[in-house]
Amino acid sequence: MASTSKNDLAGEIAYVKTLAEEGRNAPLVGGVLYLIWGAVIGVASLLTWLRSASIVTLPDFVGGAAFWIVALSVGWGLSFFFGPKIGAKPGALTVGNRTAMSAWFGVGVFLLIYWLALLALHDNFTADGVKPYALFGTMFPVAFGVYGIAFLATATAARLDWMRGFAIASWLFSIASLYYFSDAKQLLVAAAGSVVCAALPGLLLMRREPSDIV
Amino acid sequence: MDNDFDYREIDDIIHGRVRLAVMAYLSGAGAADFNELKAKVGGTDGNLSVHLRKLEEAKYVRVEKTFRDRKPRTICHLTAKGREAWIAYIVRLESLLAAAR
Repeated sequence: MASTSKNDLAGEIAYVKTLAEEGRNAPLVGGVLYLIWGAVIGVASLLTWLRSASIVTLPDFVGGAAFWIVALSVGWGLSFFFGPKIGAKPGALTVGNRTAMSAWFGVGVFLLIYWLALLALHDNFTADGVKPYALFGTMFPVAFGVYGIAFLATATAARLDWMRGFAIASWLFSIASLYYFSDAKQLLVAAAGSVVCAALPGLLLMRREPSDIV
Repeated sequence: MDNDFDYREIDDIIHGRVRLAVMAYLSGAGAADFNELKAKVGGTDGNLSVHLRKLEEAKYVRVEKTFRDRKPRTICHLTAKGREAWIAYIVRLESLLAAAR
């Protein structure tokens, strides 16, 4: 009788432990957003490079910022479309998912503000010898830098050790894009970085996502 | 018999299979949607609601009602008091196991 009670108790503890671990290890649910942003930034970078290399010619009335205005509009539009659906997924309220959503939303808002600031200020320093548009060369080093911070925070909160690798990769792309500052090759580095540091982890996360309840 | 375990120290609010399961899942997740909890711990809507109300009355769980896409949504959060009670409960269980050895 006592042995049965002990077995019952051991069974209960195993059940409780399983539930606690499932709650703690619920998968991240925002993979599609990584994929979207990796794709739009990657394509915009590549198209901008193709144009700068005169491989693609566009009418003069299409300004240099055209690809980026379209890319950011598509990225934010799809983010607002998929965001609520992601927030309703099972497991979306876990600490890992809330931290990831908060960190990446912060990255998105900061980079949008930074880009708008560059648009407003890019020719303010010509008197000091800074070429017009040169400041845009800081966009990718800063972007990959904050990607790395968000990956590290997400990896820690969601207990995904493999994601730390993407933090390191982001910082390497930050340095690489700084190396090509004021060189059109920076756009190729950015395109590759977008695939490696956004689209690829997005695909990996989507493969781990449950179709229904976690 | 030298036994320092007192069964009366077990927290009755947690010590029920459904409430125990809810507390276990929330201890890991921090917060969860009602439907997610139902899928995890089993039972009917009414049954789970009753148990959640008991945990809410003890302030172990905070229940938040919101709307998403014009549909009502119930979100359950583990409170600081709930986490303390959960840890104390686990410690009591450990004592029980130690006493039974």
